[in-house]
Amino acid sequence: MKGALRDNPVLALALGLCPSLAITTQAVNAIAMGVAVLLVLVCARLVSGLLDSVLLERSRAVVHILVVAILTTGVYEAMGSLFPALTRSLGIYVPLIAFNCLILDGTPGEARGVGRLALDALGMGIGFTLALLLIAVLREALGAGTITLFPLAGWSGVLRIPVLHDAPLRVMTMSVGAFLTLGYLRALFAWIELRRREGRT
Amino acid sequence: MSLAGSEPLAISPHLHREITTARIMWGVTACLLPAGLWGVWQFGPRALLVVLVALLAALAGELLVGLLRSRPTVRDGSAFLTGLLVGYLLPPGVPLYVPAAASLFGILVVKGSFGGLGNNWMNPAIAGTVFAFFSWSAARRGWIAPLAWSPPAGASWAEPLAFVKSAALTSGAHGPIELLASAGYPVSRFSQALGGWLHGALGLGIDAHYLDLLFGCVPGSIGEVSPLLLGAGSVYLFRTGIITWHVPASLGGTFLVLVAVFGGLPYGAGFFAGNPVFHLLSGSLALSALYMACDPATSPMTAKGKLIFGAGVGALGALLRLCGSAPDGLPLAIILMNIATPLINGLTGPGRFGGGSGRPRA
Repeated sequence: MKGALRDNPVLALALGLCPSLAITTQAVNAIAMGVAVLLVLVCARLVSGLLDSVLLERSRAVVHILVVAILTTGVYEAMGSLFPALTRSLGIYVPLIAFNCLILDGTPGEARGVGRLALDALGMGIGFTLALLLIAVLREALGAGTITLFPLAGWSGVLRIPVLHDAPLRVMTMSVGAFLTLGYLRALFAWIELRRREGRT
Repeated sequence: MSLAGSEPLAISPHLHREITTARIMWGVTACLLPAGLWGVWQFGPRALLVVLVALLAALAGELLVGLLRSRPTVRDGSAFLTGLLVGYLLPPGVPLYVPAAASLFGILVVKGSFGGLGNNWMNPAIAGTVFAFFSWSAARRGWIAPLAWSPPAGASWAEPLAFVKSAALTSGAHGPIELLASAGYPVSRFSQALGGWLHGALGLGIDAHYLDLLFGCVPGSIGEVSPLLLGAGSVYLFRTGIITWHVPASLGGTFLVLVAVFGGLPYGAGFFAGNPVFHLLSGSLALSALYMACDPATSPMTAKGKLIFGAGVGALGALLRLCGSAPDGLPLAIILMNIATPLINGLTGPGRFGGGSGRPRA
């Protein structure tokens, strides 16, 4: 579970930056993206972990790619029919989950037991979701003065931040804002890590 | 340009001069003051308030960065200069959070986050202002009619550049000055009288709008409107060697040639029909060429590099001014070329002694 915080894929390892910059304009996008990645990642680890025992060493990589691709297609189709508007706003980044999951899939083939591999993937997925959510909440709050969540029974799902909503820093919703937010969060993360290491020695 | 107190900066021998960062910064500030005072006089106390908010925010930001790095840098004057420039670049009627946010963004994000003065990779004042321009449309409006206009006109007239930009396509005029004249753009009584005298006594037919632009009797950003006073202030900078002729000359030259060639196109007048004098006197050209483009931290070090840098700013500025969506493209052009500065430095640096013809690469 180290992937959730300490080895956070986005903030510590700088992996999966493309979706974390592109789709973090609204909190709901970040949650949807994060959960989709988490699902694909955990399922892919489970399936490939089980298949590895019956596969030749040299064919494993190909099978891993196939598994991730099939799972991503499934998630994409499911999202498309369940939340069509949300999937449309995420655009190409949902099919691209396949690519991200292959990168986040760390160390395939290392026999450490299917259960531990899946748990590791779960941590990674949670870390990815948290990082995306953090970036999206900061960007949306500063750049639009709102925080968009899921509409629930009569509630529109949009929180309004009083002062910022009237004159939001629109730059933060542009790509500049994505890079700025990511840069500062990564700096903060590196600083915390440095402090922790200094404290240990 | 790293100027950290009295630390030695390079291998001896050194030539000692009485020049410090603080002295340069306060010198530039003093040279900018006449133009700012003019703006405050023309646009009233509201303009003063905008500049003061920008200054206070810049100083507060610098103080905060100094506290975080436990290295106070407020007294070197660079933050004061940044705040002043932010105020100068804004229209006098903007909401007051605009100068505050622009100054804070420039000082905290563009300068402080990258290691303070000398490590900023863009001019912090322009970066802050551009940040505000892209965030709030209110930061691009808020013109106040100058005091010199008589009879007093309402606040409905935009600055000349913005005015001709939005009206160029729909009017039948063949150039910016003709457009201003045909639209009934107000003229100050002083310029009218001076224009009449020039015509009568010397036989010079100069449109009074040119004179208004030269003296700064038009709506506009607080410190930009008076090219005459900005130019006068820069004499001291040239004489003391704080700035050299390279950047202003290549910037202005490139800009004016391109404007002369292509400036007529928005009016359907074809090539070589532009009005370089109008573009020389309007918008932020004087402030950009003489002050902001010459910022030592963000412009190249060698003479050749400065010429390339100035030409780049001039070309991009002309392109953005004629074709961009914003009325004035020069500040944007400067920060774009600021990004290219390390590259220019690497390509134009002196060769190593005995190192053959090869140049050190960035």
